[in-house]
Amino acid sequence: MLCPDCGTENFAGADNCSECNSDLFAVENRSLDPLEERLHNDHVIGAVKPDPLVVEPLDSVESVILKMAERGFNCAMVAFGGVLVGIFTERDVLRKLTADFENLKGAPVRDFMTPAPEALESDTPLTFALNKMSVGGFRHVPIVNEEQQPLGVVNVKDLLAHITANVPDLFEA
Amino acid sequence: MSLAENLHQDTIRDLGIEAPITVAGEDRIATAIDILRRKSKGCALVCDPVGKLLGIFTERDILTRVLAKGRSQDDSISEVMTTNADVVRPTDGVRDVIRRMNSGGYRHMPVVDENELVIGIVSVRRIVNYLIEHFPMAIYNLPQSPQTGTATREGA
Repeated sequence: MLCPDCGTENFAGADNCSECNSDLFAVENRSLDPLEERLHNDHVIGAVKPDPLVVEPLDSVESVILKMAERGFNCAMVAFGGVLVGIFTERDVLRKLTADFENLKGAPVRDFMTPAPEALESDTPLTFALNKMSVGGFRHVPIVNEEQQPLGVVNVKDLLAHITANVPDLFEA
Repeated sequence: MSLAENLHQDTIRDLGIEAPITVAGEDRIATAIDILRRKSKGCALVCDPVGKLLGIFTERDILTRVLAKGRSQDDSISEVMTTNADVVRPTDGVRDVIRRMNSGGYRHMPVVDENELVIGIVSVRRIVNYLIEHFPMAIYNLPQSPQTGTATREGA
C-alpha cells in the first residue's frame, strides 16, 4: 500500500512506512464507511452491463454507429482475434466524425478508435476504476479477462447505478 | 463529516453548478455540434431568448437522432432535442438528485432557478466525484496499475 503521509510504496501488511515510519496498521484497520467498503471489496465486473458491443477493426464506422444506436451503447469495444485493441465512444463520434460524416462513414472504425486503451481485469476492485475516471479523466474503462478478451466497459453512470443499488441505505430519504 | 451526514444536508448549490452550453431552438444542428466539439462537452441546453429551458441536446442524440437517421445537420436543433427534460433546483438535495439521475438514466440534468431560468448543469461525473471526495485515500492513493503493488520486501 502507499503511505498516506509520504507516498512511499510499502509491502502489503507493513505496520509502519519504511520511509517515514507512519502508522500503516492504523490506516489499514480504520473502520470504513459502508460505501468505501464496497468500493474496496466489489470487483469491476459487477458494474459492467452484460453482453457488450464488440466489433472488428475493419467494420465500417457507420455500421458500428448504427449498432451503438440500436442497442443503446455509448461505447463499442474493438477486438482483433478476440483480443481488445481499441474502444470507440460517443466522444470519438463527436470529435472525429460529425464534421464530415458523409465522406467518412465507410471508413473502418480502427481509424477513429482509441487504440490500446488502458483496461482493467475483471477482479480489480472498483476503487481502481474510479481512480482512472477521477484522476485519469477516462470516461470509459474497458474490462478484460486474463487473455485480454473484452468483457465489457465501466462508465460513470453504471458505476453510480451500482453504488446506489448496493448501498441503498445511504441514498434513501 | 461522514458521507451519510453530508448526503443528508448538501444541496446541488453546495456541489458547485457548472456553467451550461446554451443554444437557441432555431440554431442549426451543425452549430450546436460545433460548439460541443470545440468545448469538448457532451450536452447543450436549448433555451428561449429569455433563458427558459426548451430542451436538452446530448452527444447521444447526435448518434441516435442525427447520424444514425441520416438527418441533415442544417435542420434546427429544436427538431432533435429532448423536450420536457427533468430539471433540478439549486436547493434540491444531492441525495434526491442522485436517485432521480439513476432512475432516469441521465448523464446530465439542467439546473433552473425559481423563475425556470437556466443557471447551469449537473453531471453524473460531478456526482461521482462528490461521493469519492469523501474517501480520498481509497481512490487517489492507489498505484498506477492494480498489478504493480509491492508484494514482498526487496531481497526477501
